[in-house]
Amino acid sequence: MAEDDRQLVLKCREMQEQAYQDLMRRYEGYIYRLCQSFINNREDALDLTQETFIRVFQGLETYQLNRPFKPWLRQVAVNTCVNFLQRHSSAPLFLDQPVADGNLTLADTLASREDPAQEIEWQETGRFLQEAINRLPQVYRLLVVLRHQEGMSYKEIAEETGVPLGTVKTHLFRARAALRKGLSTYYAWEE
Amino acid sequence: MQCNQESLQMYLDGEMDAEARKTVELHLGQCRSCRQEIARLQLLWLELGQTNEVELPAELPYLRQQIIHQAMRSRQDNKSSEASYWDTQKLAWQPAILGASYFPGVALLSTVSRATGRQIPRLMSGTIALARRFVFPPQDKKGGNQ
Ligand SMILES: [Zn+2]
Repeated sequence: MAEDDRQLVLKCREMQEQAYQDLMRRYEGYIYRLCQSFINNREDALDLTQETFIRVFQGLETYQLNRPFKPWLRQVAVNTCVNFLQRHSSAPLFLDQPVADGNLTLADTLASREDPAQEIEWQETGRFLQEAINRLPQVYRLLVVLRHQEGMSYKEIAEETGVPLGTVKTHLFRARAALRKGLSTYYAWEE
Repeated sequence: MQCNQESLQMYLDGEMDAEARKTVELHLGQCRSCRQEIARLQLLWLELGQTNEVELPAELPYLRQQIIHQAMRSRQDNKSSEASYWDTQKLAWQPAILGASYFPGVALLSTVSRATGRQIPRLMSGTIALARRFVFPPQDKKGGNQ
């Protein structure tokens, strides 16, 4: 029977290598995919996966055993990715003012690919939508992933990212309004 | 209620209290264009909820060995290296989350980047070249990468 996370953490604290192996095998895919969905870059996602686990293992003593492990792990990953985005952004990442509105146009979420010749033919909505999501500003994408993939509430997102609640809401609204416009073009909906 | 896309989004997110939901539902009963809109949003929500499982990189197992090696060594080394990230965690959040109006000042930011910047690359040494990511103050370059 598989050991539960808590038992593995205890064994990690006792420096049992097998426990590290088991814990990583259990969660490395999840963390990699999470980072990849935030950042949309394979190499960066690998680096961030590494950074996350190093931090997690460093912080094992601070982990409270009576809490579920996965959300704690996710918190470290989100934190690591937000810090990464912050380091690579010239302006503060999260502003209440709509600085990003200028970028967040239909053109951005749709056809403005660097090389029009490489434009792929989208065969299904999911693929199309993934492209549109990848064109969102990274901060918007991060919030969309936490909401729709991780199923977190506005409040939980605010707590986990440190972004003010009002900003979480407005960024989510804008991101999804842009995606919805993209869908509209894709399906040729009449507005 | 006026037609309002934000309300429809909040409704679908389940982020409304019973009274607000009722208001939206009443409006939907009377407003054809919002009924159409919410159907379209529902389709978007459905798509956004699909998992998009990207392929895992082939080097992940190799990375795992590296990480475990680093982690166990750093725990053996004792706590001297352990403090940084967890101690500065709260501090390090601040620059990312604050708008310009309450930005705490360059001094704090540079303190944070020094605290975290010094710590992480040392742990990362010998693994994927992370160095390009961190802006080291000059005096930290040596300790950071060797
Ligand atoms: Zn209406």
